[in-house]
Amino acid sequence: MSIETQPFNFLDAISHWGQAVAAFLVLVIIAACGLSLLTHGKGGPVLVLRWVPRFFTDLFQLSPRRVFAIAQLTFREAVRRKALVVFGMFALLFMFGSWFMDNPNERMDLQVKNYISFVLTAITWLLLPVVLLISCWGLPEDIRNRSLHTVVTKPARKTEIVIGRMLGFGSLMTILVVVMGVTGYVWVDREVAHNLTVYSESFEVSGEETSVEYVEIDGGVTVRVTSGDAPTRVTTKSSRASLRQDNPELYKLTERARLAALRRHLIAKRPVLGTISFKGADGNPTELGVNTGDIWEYRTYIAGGTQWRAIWDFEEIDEEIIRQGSGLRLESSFEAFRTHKGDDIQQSLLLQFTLVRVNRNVFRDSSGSAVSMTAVRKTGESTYEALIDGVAVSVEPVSVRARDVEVSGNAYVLIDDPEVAVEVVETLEVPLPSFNIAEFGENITLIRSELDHYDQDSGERHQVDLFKDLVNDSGELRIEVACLDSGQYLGMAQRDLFVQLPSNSFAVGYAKAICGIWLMLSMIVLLGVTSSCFLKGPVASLLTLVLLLVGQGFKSFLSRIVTGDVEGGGPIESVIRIIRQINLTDELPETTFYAMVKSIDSFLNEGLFIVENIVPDFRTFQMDTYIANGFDVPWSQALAPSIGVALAYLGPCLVIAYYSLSLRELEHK
Amino acid sequence: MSRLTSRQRKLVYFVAILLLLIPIFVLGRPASRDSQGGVLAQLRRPQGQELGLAEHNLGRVDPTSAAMNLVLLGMRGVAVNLLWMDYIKQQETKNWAQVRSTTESITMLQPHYLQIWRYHGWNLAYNVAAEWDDVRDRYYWIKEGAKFIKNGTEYNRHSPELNFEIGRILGQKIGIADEWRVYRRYFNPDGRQFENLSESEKGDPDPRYRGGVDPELNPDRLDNYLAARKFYEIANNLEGRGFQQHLMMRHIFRQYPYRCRLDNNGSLNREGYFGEFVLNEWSRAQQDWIDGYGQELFATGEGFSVNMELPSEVHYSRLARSQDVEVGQVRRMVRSFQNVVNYRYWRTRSLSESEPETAEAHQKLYEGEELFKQNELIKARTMLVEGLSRLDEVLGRYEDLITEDLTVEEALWGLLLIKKIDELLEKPVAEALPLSGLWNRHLKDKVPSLQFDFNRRFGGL
Repeated sequence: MSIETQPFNFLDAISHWGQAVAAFLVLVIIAACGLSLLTHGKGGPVLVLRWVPRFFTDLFQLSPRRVFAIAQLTFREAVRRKALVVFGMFALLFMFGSWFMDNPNERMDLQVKNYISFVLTAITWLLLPVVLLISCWGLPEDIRNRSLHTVVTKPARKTEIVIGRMLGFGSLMTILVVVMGVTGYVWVDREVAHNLTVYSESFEVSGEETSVEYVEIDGGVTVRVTSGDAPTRVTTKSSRASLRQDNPELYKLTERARLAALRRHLIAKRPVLGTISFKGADGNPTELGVNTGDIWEYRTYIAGGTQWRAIWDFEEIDEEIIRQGSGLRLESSFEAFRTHKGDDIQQSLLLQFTLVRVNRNVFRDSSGSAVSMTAVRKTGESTYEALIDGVAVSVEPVSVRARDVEVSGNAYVLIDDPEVAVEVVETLEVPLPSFNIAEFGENITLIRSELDHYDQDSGERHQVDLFKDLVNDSGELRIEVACLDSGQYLGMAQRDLFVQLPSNSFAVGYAKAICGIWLMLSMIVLLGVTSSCFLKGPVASLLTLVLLLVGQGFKSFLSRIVTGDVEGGGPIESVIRIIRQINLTDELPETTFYAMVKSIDSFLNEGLFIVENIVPDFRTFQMDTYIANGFDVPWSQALAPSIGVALAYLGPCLVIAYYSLSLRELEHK
Repeated sequence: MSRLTSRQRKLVYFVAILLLLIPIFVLGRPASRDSQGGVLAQLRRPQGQELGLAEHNLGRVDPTSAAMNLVLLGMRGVAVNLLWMDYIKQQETKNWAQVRSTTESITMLQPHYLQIWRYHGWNLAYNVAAEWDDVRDRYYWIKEGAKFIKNGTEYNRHSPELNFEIGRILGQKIGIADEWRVYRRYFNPDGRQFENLSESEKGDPDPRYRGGVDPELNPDRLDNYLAARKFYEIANNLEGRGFQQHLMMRHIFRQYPYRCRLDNNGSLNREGYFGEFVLNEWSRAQQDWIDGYGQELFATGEGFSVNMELPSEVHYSRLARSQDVEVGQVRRMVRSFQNVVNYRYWRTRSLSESEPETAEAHQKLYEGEELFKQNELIKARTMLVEGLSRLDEVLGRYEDLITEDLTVEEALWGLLLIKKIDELLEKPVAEALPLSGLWNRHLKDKVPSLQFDFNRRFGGL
């Protein structure tokens, strides 16, 4: 499973937003004052400053009743303009969707992803043009038809008009999203159920572990049931209906297996992720593993049959997690890279987990300042001193959490102060039995609460408690992963190993993904209504579309241009390179002309910096990857950022819309 | 016209439409069983002969494909380019579910573009398969590649190239890959060489076929090479009827069905299956090669045609006279064509392999290795030395075989085993082993790589 995610920090986001909005407002006010100085003389800036608080006055005096009335009228008008035709297209698409999709993957675990992606993509791309057009054309059409005059002279405040429009379009969009979302859910559920003709599940029946394998192909139905040590019973029927008729008990068993298979395919897993680091061939910590030459650098590799280890540090492991899963459930999905086929071609790579209890300490002096471990020496049983500026100072080890530590060079250091090396002591290691990898599939390892451990030092075997002995006092557990096959490599990324919490139902995860679509469309409504306050319909549509395209498809490219990671220089330098056919990587001659071009480009890049911060990042609303890969949409990494982005634009959009509408000449067509 | 009312104008238009329908009908009416159709349909079939210009002549006409093309309003090229970019990204990020469905979308938009079917089928079987670790998954994706191209033949019924590619996947990919032993067991569990294997060790691992065969690719339950042969024969048949292939020269293209038998027999030996059946198969393969492939005529490009099998000067002269060319020219071209396809080698090989002495040599070398694995070192050594002696006699009679890689490697492998046995038994290195000359000749090229493989399997020498 390959989802690339960024952690989201609310405080940082709010701080960044505040700075951007404040800077933008200051710039606008200064520019407005400057212009008014030219047009109205000394009284100009005074007029501008008098206008500034009007928005807040309007906002605090608005009437919810009028807002609701405008919203209602907006809704009706959009319906009258046949916005609901999109339902017809949606229905057509889903009625014939199966024809187009034609089940290209015979394996259901692969095909489910296509179904879910198809539904979410269809909903998004069908609604986008509808929502964009109705929100961009609403106000300009009213202004053109002069029907806005009757509203404005009601009197209705500008804020009421803007908020009413947004609410009206928003409520219509919500209805569309909800209905399509529900229809999509039913379709996915039905398609998976209908095409699930091969499945194999294990569960307990009357206290015995029973495995049921069901295969339905053109020639009939074959059911294999293995219960405990008994030989496998094979039953063959011409169809599922005849199985139900002739053998109802067996049919019930297959139904139970089918429901279990459906739950397994349509699921929203809740992972507890850890932080990943590595140990190199010399056994020392290192940030990354080996690069095997894969173009896609999502995964890094560890060499098999060596001291290379991948390390996951999980936090907040408590007894509740262990109790809920009847043990600690780990799910892994590593990738294998072979340098040779192996002695036994039919065996996949062998790997092993080792549970490790670690204590992390940073040494602090009496004033609380952190001291690097490299300067510390032990002077007694539990006393330490460090040489600071030639003076021996007594220091004490203070426990530090895994989230505050990272690997830098070949040492563990504090994230806040990379000069300070941290002591990491492994006090207990319990290797688990090795197992063969199931690549691109589910590897579930259940670690029981009580583990059998052979102590190599004492030569004794004893029981180890998972929570009491292996999880440290801060609730952290380390898991080391090793590949045991020499000459082979095991690839991993952070999300490739996680602790499995009880999963949510697919409906919950799907609903969150639909929320993501709703938030994105809400942004479109916000931007569309705002732009329609100062632009005509077609131009407002174009502006909103451009913001969408740049925010969705070109945001990362824009960021790379702004940070200077793109070769070829700025816009003018790029044009010169194209015309003169100068390679991207070639240095330009050091002449006055090119120096001037570079300075102009750096000025233009500043403009791009502003653009980059204005254009909303529509990528935060994409949540289909999670649910398509069987994961629940996480709050902190997906939902929270998208809500944050939507809310961040709400205020500024209202302000811009208000002032634009207030300053606009409504008589002018 | 301006004096007419609105209703009258509409009536005039309606009548005009009806009148215009008449020439449209006369010109465009399609042909059917009961009629020859309109003027255009008759033009497409001069003197009752089908020119094959309509889309339905190419293969199945898919209404969804046609609908998709219409909906794109001429932007099919753009859509396909975007799909290709998606496809490359999906393969890079190992998003296998969408790789498969994007492939389907591309072929839906361009069903008659052969390169797409060929490329994607090859990519699934060779590249996507290689990304998976479990051998059962690799086998699944190899089959997916073959099935994908087979699907393409329904839209392009007259393409020799697509049928050739299916044959290549079933024959070459399954038969020569590192996992060939496992793949061959999966493909055809009914093979005589697998009689002693348990049910769980053979047959398609897909739960739908459970130990059986995949009916879509192997309905007749044949060996992979023989199943490939069927597709190669279809390709040859189409090529012979005038549907061109642009993959390779004609005499190279047409050899493949005959080569399948030869390759299959070689695999049977390598799997440790010997006996009367295999000898007969080699004879049959030899007959096919000489009487089938050897008799096919190929244009030389110099105004005359030649065939591969010309056993004597009389045959050369007869061929030259019949086409009014010099015997020297014929001889030169026959030699050239034979060299390209290694015709003489395969003729010799199939002849030698049909002899019991050759089979005995292979069997002794195979059984020697098996005894070695069971730690019966002395018996193994004896068997291996006998096997090498037999092989030496065969190579003495058929000198052409001395250049063949598999035969040479078989001999060198036997020598490696004997040297290892001598080391384990702490005996001095034997000087006078059969085929030691072969060892010396390949000391710098084949021996090091074979030794590396040997060390990996059995430990160093």
